[in-house]
Amino acid sequence: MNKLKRILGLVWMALGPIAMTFLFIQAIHKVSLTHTDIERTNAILQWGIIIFIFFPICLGLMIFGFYALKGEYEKLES
Amino acid sequence: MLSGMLLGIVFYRPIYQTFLDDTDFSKANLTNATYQMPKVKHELIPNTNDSLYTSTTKITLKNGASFNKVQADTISIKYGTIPAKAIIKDKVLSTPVFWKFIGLIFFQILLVTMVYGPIAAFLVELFPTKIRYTSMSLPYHIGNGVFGGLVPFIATLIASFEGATPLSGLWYPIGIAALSLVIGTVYLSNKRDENVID
Repeated sequence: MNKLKRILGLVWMALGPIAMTFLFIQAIHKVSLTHTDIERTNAILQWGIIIFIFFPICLGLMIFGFYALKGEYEKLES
Repeated sequence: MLSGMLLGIVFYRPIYQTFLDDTDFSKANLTNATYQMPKVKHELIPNTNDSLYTSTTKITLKNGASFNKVQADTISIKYGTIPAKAIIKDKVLSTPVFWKFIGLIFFQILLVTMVYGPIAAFLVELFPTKIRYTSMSLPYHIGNGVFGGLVPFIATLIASFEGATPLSGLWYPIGIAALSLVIGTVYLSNKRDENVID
């Protein structure tokens, strides 16, 4: 179980940047699809909010993965 | 709590597939169906010599379900009649299907309560007093506000991908539930902390 926790820690650490990269690629793609200036402003605003909200979540997922890898969660099993 | 998540992951897609299939009247069995007199509307398309011919037929199936079939054809002087695809509107379900849908929605409510019921007690017992308020409110509101609030947006985004079906958007809630299930099963212990009343 402790080994699983550490291995999954790597997964969580990888998942943060992967999700962020995916969102950035999608944001650039969706903004490039717009035609008028108003559409572009709307798309940039929406995607700005999405990335702004998900950035700390992905960061938190990475920190969680880091501590899981360090073995901090092994103490919890009593 | 975790079993509620697991059941959600397993049953989300089948439930919504049932909703889709049962409301799809395009393949309905039309034998013994009753047709009401179609309501016909004839109007001129502005600035042209063409006109729009709309006929609305109410069709009641044998099992009690009914729907309106709207056929809007353009009658052009140049090209003759240009038929359009019929649109099915104002669907009314038959009584057994109606109660089946209510049962399915009630089942989803059960899943929600399975997760939400123990969550308050669980979060309280999970952390020491010093950080209890922070540790309760932060995950609770991130979970509700961010993951719940962004469901329409992310689901629409997923549904806009190539090869997406109407149910593709469900992968976002299913994915988040699966993530929570794995973290909850692997990392958290259900044993009571001996210092919980510190």
